[in-house]
Parts: sequence; C-alpha cells; structure tokens
Amino acid sequence: MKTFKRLVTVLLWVLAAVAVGYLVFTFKRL
Amino acid sequence: MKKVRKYFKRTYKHYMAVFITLIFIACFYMFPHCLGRFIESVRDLGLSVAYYFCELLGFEDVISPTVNNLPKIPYFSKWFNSSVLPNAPIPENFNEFKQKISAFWELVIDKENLSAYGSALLNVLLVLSKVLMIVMPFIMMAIMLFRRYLKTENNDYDKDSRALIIWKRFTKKVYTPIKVWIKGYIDFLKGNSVYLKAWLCLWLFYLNGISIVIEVLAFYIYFIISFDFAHIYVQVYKLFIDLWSVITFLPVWAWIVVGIAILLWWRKKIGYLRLRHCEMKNRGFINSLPIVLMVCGTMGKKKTTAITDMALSEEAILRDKAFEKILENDLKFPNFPWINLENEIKRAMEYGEVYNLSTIRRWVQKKKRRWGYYKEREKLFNYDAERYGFTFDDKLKTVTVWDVIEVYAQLYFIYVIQSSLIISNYSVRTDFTLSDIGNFPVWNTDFFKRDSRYLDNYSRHAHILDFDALRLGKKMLAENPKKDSFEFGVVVITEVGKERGNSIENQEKKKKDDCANQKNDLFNVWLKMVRHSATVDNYPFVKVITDEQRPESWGADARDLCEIVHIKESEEPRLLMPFFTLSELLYDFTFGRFTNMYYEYRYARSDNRLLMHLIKGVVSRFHNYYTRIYNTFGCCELKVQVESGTQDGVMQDKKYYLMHKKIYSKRFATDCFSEYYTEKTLRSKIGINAMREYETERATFEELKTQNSYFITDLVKTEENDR
Repeated sequence: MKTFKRLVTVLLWVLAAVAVGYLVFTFKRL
Repeated sequence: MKKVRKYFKRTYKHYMAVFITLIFIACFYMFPHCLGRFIESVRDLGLSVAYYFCELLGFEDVISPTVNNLPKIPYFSKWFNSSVLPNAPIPENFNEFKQKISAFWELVIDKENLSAYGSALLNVLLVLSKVLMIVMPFIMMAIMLFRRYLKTENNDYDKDSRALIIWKRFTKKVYTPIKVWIKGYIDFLKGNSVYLKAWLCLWLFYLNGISIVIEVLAFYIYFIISFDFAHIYVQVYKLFIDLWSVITFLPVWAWIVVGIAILLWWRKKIGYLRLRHCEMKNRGFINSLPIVLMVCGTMGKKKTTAITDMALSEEAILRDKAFEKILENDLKFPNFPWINLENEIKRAMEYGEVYNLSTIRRWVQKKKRRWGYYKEREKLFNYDAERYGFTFDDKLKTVTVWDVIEVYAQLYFIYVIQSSLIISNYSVRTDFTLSDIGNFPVWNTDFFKRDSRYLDNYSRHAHILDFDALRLGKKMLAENPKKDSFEFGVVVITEVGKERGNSIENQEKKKKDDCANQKNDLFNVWLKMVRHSATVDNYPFVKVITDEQRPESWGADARDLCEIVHIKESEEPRLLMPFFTLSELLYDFTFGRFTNMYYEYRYARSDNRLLMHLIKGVVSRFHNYYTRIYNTFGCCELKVQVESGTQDGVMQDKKYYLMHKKIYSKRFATDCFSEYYTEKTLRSKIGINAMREYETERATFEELKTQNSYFITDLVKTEENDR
C-alpha cells in the first residue's frame, strides 16, 4: 500500500511535469 | 628556497582565490550591458527619490522620473560588441500582451500543437531509451558477473581481488587526495568568506541582480506617491529584459541542476518549518494539561519517550515564560537600570549567597533594608526613583519598585540558571545553549538544528531525583542534606506506580511505621501543594510528569490530581520534509534487492571483489542519506486520549508528535533501569545455553517440577495430600 501510494505520487508529479512542459512548448511556438 | 616553498604552501590558496576572482572579473566581456543597466537603475532610483520628495513637498512637475522608460540598449557601443541585443519573450505593451495571451490559449487547445508536443515527447523518450540501451548491457554484465561470483564458494577471509587492489590504489593516489583537497579548499573559502562574497557580488552584477533590486526600489518609491497603475506592465517587461540575459546564459541542463539544488534547499526549509510547527502544537497540548499529569499505555506504546519529550518541551516553556514575565516586569519601570540588578544577582550566585528562590527573596529584602536607612539612589541599583517614580499602578493593585525587583530577581534566576530544569528518576540529555556576552543572556531552545557531531560539547543532563526532597513527612534518610532542596522545575517519574503503589499494594504498610513508607511520607501532600514553592508572579514554574502502564497502579489520592493521557496508537513514522517520494521509491527498490544479494554473497564467499565493493559503497551512501533525512525530519504521531484523573470516562481525542531529531538524539535510554539487571545477571553462573531443555514435546513430571511454579507446586502438594 505504501509503495502504491508513493508510485501514485510520483506518477502525479510526472503528469504535472508533462503538463508544464506542454505549456512551455506552446509558449515557445507562439 | 625552503622558506619560499613554505610561504607558497601557506598562501597558495589565497593566490588561487585571487586568480579565480580575476577570471570572474574578465567575464565582464560576456555581459556588456550589465554596467549600463546598473548606471541606468541608479539614475532611475535617484530620480524616483527626488520625485517622491518633490511631490510630497508640493513641487509638482519639477522632476520627471525615468523609471518607466525602457532600457536604452546598446550602451557603450563604441567599446563593446553590441550586435547581440537582449530581448524579452513578452510583448512591449499591455494590449499586445493581452492579444498574445488569447492566442496562447487558442494554441493550447489546438490539435496540431498537441500532436506536435506528443511527437516532441516521443523524441525525448527515444533519447532516453537509447541511453537505456547503452546502459543495460553493463547492468546485465554486472548481474552475470555477480551470479558467477556466487557459483564459486570460498573462505578467503578479507582477501582483495586483483581488480580491487588496483582500484584501492587508484582511489588512494588519485580520488582521495583530490576529494580531500577540494573539501579543504571549500573550508578555506568558508573561513575567508570575503572571496565568496566578492564572487557573489560580481555574478549578481553581471546577471543584472543588483540592477533588478535597485529598479524595484525605484519603482516602489515612484509608485507609492504616484499610484501609476498604467506603467506596471512596463516594469514587468523591463524585468523580463533583465532576466532574459540570465536565463539564456545557462544551458538547459545547467538550469535543471540549479532547479534541483533550489528544490533540495527549499524542501529542507519547509521540513524545518513543519518540525517547529509540530513542536508548537505539542507545547499547546502540554500547556492545556494541569501541573500533574500521567501518561498511560501498554508496553511499547512509547510512554517514556512521550514523557521525556514533554519534559524537554516543558523546560523550554518554563524558560520562555520566565523571559516573557521578565519583560512584563521590566516595562512596569521602564527607566530602571535592570542590568545593575542582574549583575548583582550574578555576583550573589557566584558567591553562593543566592541558590534558590527563597534565598533570592531574602537577598532582595536585605538590599531593601540597606536602602531603607538613607534611601540613596546607589542602594537602589542606581534607579532615580524621585524622577521616574517609586510605585506602579496596574489598576488592580499598586506595587512598589522593591516588589517588582523581588519578582524580577526570581524570574531572572529561573531564566539564567544554566543547569537543566529537569529532575528525574532516569537520565535525560538536554542541549539548550545560553549565549551571553555579559549583557542579557539569550537561550537557544531549538531542538532541530543541533550538530550531532558536537553533541557532547554542549549537552547537560537532568538532575538526579532524590525522592526524599518530595516527601513532606518521613524521609528515607532522616538527615538527608537534599531533603529540602526541591523548589521548582520539571519532575519526571517513570513507572510511578511501582514507586508509589496503590491502596491494595500498600495495605500492609502503616502510618505509624518507623521507616518511611508510602503512607507516612506525605508525598501526596507535597503533590497537592507543589505549586506553592514554585509560583513566581502568579505562574507556577513546576510540572510533574509521570508514566505507568495502567492508571490504577498509582493510588487514587494522587491520581485524582492528574489528567491521564492514554496513548491509544503510535502511528508509523512519516517524513515532514516534502518531495522525498521518488527517493523513497528508489531506496525501497535498491535496498531490498541489495540486502538479498549481499547476504547471498556473504554466505558463499569471504573475499572482497571490486563489483561488490562498488555496489556496497553506492548503496551505503544512499542508505546513510536516507537514514539521516528520516532522523532529521521524521515524525511519529501519537493518538492520545485525555481523561480526568477521577476516571469519569470522558475522553478527549488529541495528537502528540514525536520528532526523531528531538527525542531520539541520545535523549534517554529506553532501558533506563538496565543496570539493575546487569548487576543481577552478573551474579548468575549460567546463561541461556546452559538452561535445561525439554526432552520431548511433552514435559515429564520431573521437568514440570523444575519450573518452581506456584501452580505446579500447588498441584503436586494436592496430589501428595490426596495420597
């Protein structure tokens, strides 16, 4: 359970990083 | 020649630092605009200040501030190559900015843009997979090599392989000296911080840091008098221009490194803030409890840990309270030269004239008497009572300066006393430090930023509790010199029930007994009256903290005075520092695998191989890092229920936090009475190996009899009687 929670947390951070990356990518193409 | 070499050896680090400084100064050519921007920002600040005062004094339109002008780049184009102009990634005016924003959101939801991002992400993944493809064969090779090691078993105790010998020689000759030199040079720079400060200033100057600060100040001064909202965007634009030279100076990978360094620093800062927040919640909890409290819980529920933690916090509370009350009394006579009084108290303490609250009260009365003969200013610690007044009225009562001096002196005594305020029946380490440069001393009561390497240098321990000092009736030693010594402090008694017993356990003992016992020592009377000896300025500087497995183990007469804190549950330790999840996952993954692998290796072989040496080195560093982080920022939450000592069944759910850095840093021994058992077992001639074992699964009659059990002995007796 502990490992699962940690995995989910890391996954959420990766998703957040991908989302921020998308905004930066769009900003650069503007 | 020898002298020159010696001189060079002593000073070459300075020459190196100067050389690095010169290189940094030469870097000015890489940032040609920074000087111009700096001059411009100083001009903007000067004109903003002039504008502020002109507007304030009513000279309108005399000064036209330049803080809203855009930078006039290039500056000094004669001398510097100004072909590369800094530009900002945002539009020059606000209207354009608004258009760009709406275009940005349109692009965000654009399908083509999304698929372009997807393919860019795939490219990144492709690069990562290529890296993995390069690394994987090495990992596979290492695993195969390791499996091969396990196939050959040996008993070559502590014998190094040839590769390991070469590696150790290399680290000894190359790696270790370089590491030691770099560490030494960093220490040298820390010791001579002027170099570090000069480098920081230079780079802040090059990267427009100083110009940005001056420009912010210039706009702030301009804005607070003009309320010019229309030009706020210009400032944002200017900020981006200044920052852009910093952002474009470093490559992406360097920014990632900087970002990680900032994250590591920031998460530690948050961790410390959370630790202090939990400590404040603990102090709030302790303050809500009465003077006498009892912590109960079954074995292993962290009772003694909790009472030790409470005692440490209570000591800090008492010091803080004394400090707070000193200030309150100071302000009653703001022109009183308190330092003269403090110096005289210190002197009296040094001469042994003052050593507790009673002696300090007597000492103040003596001073008052002497002053009373001629009422000279010098006898009143040089206080000019005629000019500044002799009494203070707080609208409840009027007090004289001597009344306040008496209270102040007692509070100062409690505050300034350097030994621990904890008096306990087991040892507790305290590490509050008193900074004193001869004026008003200041206590550092922080638990969390103590350097564990120098722990013994600044530690003190709790005072040994002499129970005779807590007995108002019969004493165990009739002529005990310490029998009247207790006055104030934090009294901590672990396993109080075993010391005091309850009515059933004490029923054989009589009040008339010649020896001291629980019925004639008047300990309970002391407990009921304890605040009388410790109250200064209406605050009781005393707390009695006890623990026991069951509340009923302590007699009801004493227990009724307490509030009982039942420890219901001790939760798993958690980390108060954020952003550690990835490291935890990695740790779990590597450490579990390493442990299995390591003990397979230890079982099979006793020699030392390079691969194992390297893996163990990496894992041990990671393990130690993980342990240190948990030891610093770990916290265990106790779920507690508070009940009145009369045990009326009304429970209040509360939480108490045990922070590892505070309570597990060599604070106390969980086996605090172990020395008794050491003495006892030293008398024994046999150990567990020599204890007789049962012959089969069923004990023989003879074997049962060797148990010396009441039950079996009774059975045997009954059986013999029946015969």
